[in-house]
Amino acid sequence: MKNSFPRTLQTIVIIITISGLIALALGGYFNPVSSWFQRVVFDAQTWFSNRYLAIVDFLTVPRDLVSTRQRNIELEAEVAQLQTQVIELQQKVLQTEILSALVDFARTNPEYSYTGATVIGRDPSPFYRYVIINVGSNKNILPGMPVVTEKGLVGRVDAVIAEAARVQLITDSESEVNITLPASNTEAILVGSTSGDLFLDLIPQDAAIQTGDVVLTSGLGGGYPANLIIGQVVSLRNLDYELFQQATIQPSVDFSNLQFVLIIVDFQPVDISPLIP
Amino acid sequence: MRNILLLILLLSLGIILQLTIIGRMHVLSGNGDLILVIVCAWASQEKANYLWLWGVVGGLVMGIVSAAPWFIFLIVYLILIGLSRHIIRKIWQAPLLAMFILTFLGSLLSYGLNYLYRVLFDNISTNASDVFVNIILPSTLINILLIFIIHPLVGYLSKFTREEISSE
Repeated sequence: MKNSFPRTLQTIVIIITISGLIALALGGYFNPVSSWFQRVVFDAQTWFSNRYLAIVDFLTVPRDLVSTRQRNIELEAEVAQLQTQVIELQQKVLQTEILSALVDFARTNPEYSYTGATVIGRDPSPFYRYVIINVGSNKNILPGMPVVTEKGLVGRVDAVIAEAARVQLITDSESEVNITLPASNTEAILVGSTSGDLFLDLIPQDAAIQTGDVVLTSGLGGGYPANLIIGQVVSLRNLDYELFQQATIQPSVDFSNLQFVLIIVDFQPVDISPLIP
Repeated sequence: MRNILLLILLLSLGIILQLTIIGRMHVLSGNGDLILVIVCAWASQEKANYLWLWGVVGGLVMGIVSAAPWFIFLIVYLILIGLSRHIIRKIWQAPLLAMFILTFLGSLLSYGLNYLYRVLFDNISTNASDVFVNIILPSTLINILLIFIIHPLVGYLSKFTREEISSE
């Protein structure tokens, strides 16, 4: 009896104390204390958390750096590969544009038949303006056939083998083309030169030629079809004591950048040499 | 046998590169002659074999692909082969210098003969000084620049055919 009373009293006191503390807490009397306690605990937690994260970063960053560098290398290789593809596709677009222009030329000039060819080489000698194309007798190419692009006259087939042919450009110093200037109704001879420039010779003194006049093939002599564009007059030389005028021509074809050409396969050049006395 | 294979390989590759690349590289109105440089490089090697064969094959190959008369290249290359022996004897222990001299002389001879043929037989009219300044000199310059690529290559291949590499 004596021992149970203090124990019961202790229990009652504890319950009352706890209830009182709860009541005080709910009443907000312990806020300053709880605030201080929370601040201490959270500061300690933050300190521990920061140190932990620092240690984790220290241990894992090298691995991330290696993987990042590896990924960077892979991406750079992929970029290089894509750049190469872009360049190849740009080249193909350019070639397609050129071929498309040639096809348009063939369609707008249906009076002749054409065979397309790629320029695969140039004559080794700087004194001879010839190019080599990748079609030959296997595609019924014969010497003397005119060669054109959509921009104008290129030259004439000079020699043929089974798989290739050699084309003499109109800029060759041995090339002569009979031309006409429609603006002045004048006929003359177009000659090449060792430097690749084009000149008109044998222009009558009374011919009223002006710079900018278009030069076309006349068809005379039977070497080339008529009305193929050659270029434009750039400059004139007219000296009173000379028999003929001379002119410099800017060709419409860019001979330094020939890639694709058309060969007129159904034009037969006429050999008039037996008629020349 | 190795010499013959090397001749075929080098001249075949050379003519392809000449037609496709060297022929499109212009300085003023001139362009290089890769076959001439290769022949000079081989001729400037002290212990080169089948020299005359290189000159004949090189000249014929160029004569076939070029619109220029075939005998011009043949004559020039054979003259160079003949000159090379004299030059090597005079300038011993200096194959690069011998090659420079051979290439320079060969270029002047080749382009000079080409020009003379065009003037005399094709009746072209042109100013000789313009041709020399705009064609012959720039072409010679390109050939001399090609020496720096071709000479070490041919030198290495020449040693290879003489089986010196295996002993090194």
